[in-house]
Amino acid sequence: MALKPHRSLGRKLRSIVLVSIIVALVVAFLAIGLSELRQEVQRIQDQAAIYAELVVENGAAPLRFEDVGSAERLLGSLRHVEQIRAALLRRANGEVFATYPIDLEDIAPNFYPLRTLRVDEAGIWEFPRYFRAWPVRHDGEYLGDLVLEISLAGMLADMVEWFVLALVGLGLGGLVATLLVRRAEQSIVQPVVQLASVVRDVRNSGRYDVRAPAGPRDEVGELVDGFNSMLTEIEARDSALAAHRDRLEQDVALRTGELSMAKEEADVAREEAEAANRAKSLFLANMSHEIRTPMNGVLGMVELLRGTEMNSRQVRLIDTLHASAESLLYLINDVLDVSKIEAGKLELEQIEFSPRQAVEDVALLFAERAQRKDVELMVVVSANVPERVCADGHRFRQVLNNLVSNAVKFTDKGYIRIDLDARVAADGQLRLDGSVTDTGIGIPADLQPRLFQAFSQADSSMARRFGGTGLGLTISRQLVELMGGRLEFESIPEERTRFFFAVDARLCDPAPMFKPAGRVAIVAGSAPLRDALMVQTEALGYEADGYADPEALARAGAAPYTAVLVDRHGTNSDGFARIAQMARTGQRIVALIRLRSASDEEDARAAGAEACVPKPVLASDLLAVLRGDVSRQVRQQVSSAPTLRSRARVLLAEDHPVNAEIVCALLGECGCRVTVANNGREAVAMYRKGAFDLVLMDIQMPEMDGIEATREIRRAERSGTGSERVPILALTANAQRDDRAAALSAGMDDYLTKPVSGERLREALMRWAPTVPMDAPAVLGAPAAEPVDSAVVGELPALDMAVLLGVPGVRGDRAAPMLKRLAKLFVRETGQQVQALAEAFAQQDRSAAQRVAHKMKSAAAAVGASRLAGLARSLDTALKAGEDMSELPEVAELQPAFVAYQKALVDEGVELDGATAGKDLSS
Amino acid sequence: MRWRALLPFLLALLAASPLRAAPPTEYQLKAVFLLNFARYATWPDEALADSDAIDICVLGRDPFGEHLSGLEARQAQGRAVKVHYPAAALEAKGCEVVFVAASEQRRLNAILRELEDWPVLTVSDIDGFIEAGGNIGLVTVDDRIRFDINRSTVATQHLRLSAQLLKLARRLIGREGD
Repeated sequence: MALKPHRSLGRKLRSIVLVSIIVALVVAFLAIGLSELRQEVQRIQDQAAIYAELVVENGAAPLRFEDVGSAERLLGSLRHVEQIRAALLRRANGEVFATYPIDLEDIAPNFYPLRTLRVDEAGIWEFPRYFRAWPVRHDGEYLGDLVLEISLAGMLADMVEWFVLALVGLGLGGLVATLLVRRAEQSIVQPVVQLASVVRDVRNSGRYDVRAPAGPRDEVGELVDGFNSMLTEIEARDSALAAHRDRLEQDVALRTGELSMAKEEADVAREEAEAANRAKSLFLANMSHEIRTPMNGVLGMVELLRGTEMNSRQVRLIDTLHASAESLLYLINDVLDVSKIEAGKLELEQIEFSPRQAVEDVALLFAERAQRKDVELMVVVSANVPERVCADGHRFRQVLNNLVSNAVKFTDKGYIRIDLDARVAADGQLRLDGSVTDTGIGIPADLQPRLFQAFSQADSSMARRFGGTGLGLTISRQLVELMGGRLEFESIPEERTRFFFAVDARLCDPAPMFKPAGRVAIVAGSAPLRDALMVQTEALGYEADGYADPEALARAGAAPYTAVLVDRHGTNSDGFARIAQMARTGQRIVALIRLRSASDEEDARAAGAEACVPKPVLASDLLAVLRGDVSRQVRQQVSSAPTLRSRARVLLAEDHPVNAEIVCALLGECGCRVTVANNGREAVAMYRKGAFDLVLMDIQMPEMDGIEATREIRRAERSGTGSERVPILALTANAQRDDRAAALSAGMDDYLTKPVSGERLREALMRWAPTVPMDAPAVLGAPAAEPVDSAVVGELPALDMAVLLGVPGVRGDRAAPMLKRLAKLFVRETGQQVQALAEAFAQQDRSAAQRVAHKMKSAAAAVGASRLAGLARSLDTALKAGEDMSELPEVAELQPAFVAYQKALVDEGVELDGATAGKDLSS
Repeated sequence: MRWRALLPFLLALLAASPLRAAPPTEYQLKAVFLLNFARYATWPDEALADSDAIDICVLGRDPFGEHLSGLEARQAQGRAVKVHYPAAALEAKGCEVVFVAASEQRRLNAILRELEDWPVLTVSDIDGFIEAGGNIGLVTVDDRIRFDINRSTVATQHLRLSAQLLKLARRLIGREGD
């Protein structure tokens, strides 16, 4: 096996050489052999010719003289010629004359072809014999023929001998050639064999340090040299590679070490960073908590300060202070939210709430601001929206709040529309789809990609112009994502912006089903408002037809509608004229008026509107007026300015004196009697001593915390030593779920998040101590909103105290500083207006007079100066109607009515700055 | 191949040949011998001019009959052959070959003497002819015709005979040049 290449190569070489030699020899042999044969044949022929000539020369005479004996002797002389086996002399007529041997006719009876052979140059070859005939002539006469038979045996023997010799030569040649090839093989093949053997060794052992022995100076030698240098090269590379590998291993080990060190360092750094982040979050949470407590104090104190007697400059300063403090609080809340979200600590609640209510609350919150900017605010809640759902209502409101706040901030004309829809997503999850569309300045394209980044508003100048932290959208987006959705937007700069989002919710109460209830016509100049109203009314089960103006409605000539909703906005007095016009057609008119605009309502009712609905139009209000339930009309007063008088006895457990004082003051405003405990232990002790209608319990207090105190109280109740179960509300600064859960499990009923506002306190009172109210909520506007006939103006009271007490900020408190401020302000303003009106009449300046009267009408109605308001309205209407200015007796009645109002105020105990009033009056 | 196919026919032809059927008579052969002797003999140039024919003469009673005259159609040494029958030896001096018939046995010596100075080849079947001075004597041995030659008289008559002929002679007497 191992020798095979050797054999193969040697054998190949030998075969090639031997085959070449044999072929050459055989060719030469054949050529020589053929030539030899040819010569031999020629020789035989020549020889035969010579003998024949002799015989023929001497054969003529015996033939002529019939001397057979001589002829036979003559032929017999041929016996010395070995090759001639037989001879025959023939007469001219073919008769046999003489033969050799003499007895030829006996030994070969036919001796064919001797007797009949014709004279021919070539003769006949009958191997191994040759026959030929020669003619015998003499003296011009043909006498007969001589025929010879020549044996070729001799020639054949010669040929065989030659052949054997040639073969021997051939063999010898081959042998010599083989020997020569062997020698050549030694010199050519041997180096190759050695090389192959070295190659085999290298291949088998993988060693590159062996070398092939040097070969002869020829191509093989070059091959061997090349192979050796290749081995050298490989060996060099091998060792280089091995060295490199070793170095690499060292490097890898080194790097691995470095890496693991780096990783450890990174781990340490990461842990440090995480710790730092946790510390930061904790710090932020603590800070915001710590800041909120003093802020709480600031706000509370400001609110209390407002109640004291102040001049107008002080009022302005206090208002600014309050607004600044509130902004600061919002800012802190935003920062807290961001830090919570970033720390992943924001936990969502699952509270049952009404999404419709949430949207409407948010809308109401911004209604006034929108109205001031003359921006139409619309709320469209789809009929699909369930009545109640489970989700984090607070955060849902917060998102809406942020979006609507932004919309109001950046919109100066047009409208803002809030949409809420609900659907069941593909995964069976209920989803609330919210969107806020506005026609504001929009979002510049270059800002859109980073809109949701923290602290980004369109630009810094915008931040200065519009205020805000710039965190609102960031928080909103993250909140929406926490609630399982996405907050997205689309915006056309300078045209419109739409933010939309979807959040997951759990269904609690399905959407109410509204039966088909009738047809409603909507008359509104603004297409967006019209569309929104149509959707809203249809969601309530009504069919809706929209008209751009009353004329269109009249032209349509449709059957009487259940109600006709007329938007007066933007049409000013025209709108009311139209309402009057339509009222005459017998339609039931519902006027859409501005929020908290008593004058609007007055005007609408005067024009013939059966009911008024303030904008933004809420579903509940709309449904109430459409169903004719007028008592619900006063919604805005009830919800926006609840005034509560309560004799509830309240136990307040609060260790922080500022907080305690604020809560005391707020509760005191409502008429509650408050007992303050400085810690849980005191609270429990006080509870045992006296009966309370409500307990407000701070959670974190020295000596005994709120949780423990609550448990004590509940234990006392169960053991029978206490009275009946008293509602306990937690006061908690950090609205953490854990705290709440602990509070609720300890037996508390609800919780209030600090800073506690008066509004929320009142809500809690109404909810948890409803059995001890002293006064029902004051109602503003209802009496004043009654249609007033100018003929009976004089019978109207100079002062309707109920109206004055119902003013927001007064809340039924006769001693409220707001009331005093309001009264003083009104007296001063009205004094100027009465005078201005008198001047306008004197100068017959109709438009100025009308403007003043109109202004006075609203203000007077608001402060309960009913008679004055009636007079001003009459004047306003008359002036607008173009009546003769000299024919208006109301002008003269203004001053007495005003004086009567002031007097009534003083009678009611409202102190007025007499000098001011007097000065106004006198000037 | 072709001639082999013809062979049986040729053989049949030979077998049917009349020559084979009739063997030549004694004088028929002797007539041919006379001509053949003329073929192997050489005459002096003055005796035989180039244009001359070879004259074969018979002295005595003609034993050949038509066989000899038949030879006149043939040629010898490129010359025409003519047969003469002279009445006397004197007349035969101009002949090249003279056959002395047996009828002239008694006058043999006279004839030979007459012709002994002339280049005339003398032939006869008379016994003792060459001893008597003749050139070639025909003898019959074992039914075969043979001949003896007297080389002396041939030479003295200025004739020459071919070695081939001499080789075939039964008996040679005399010596050349004698």
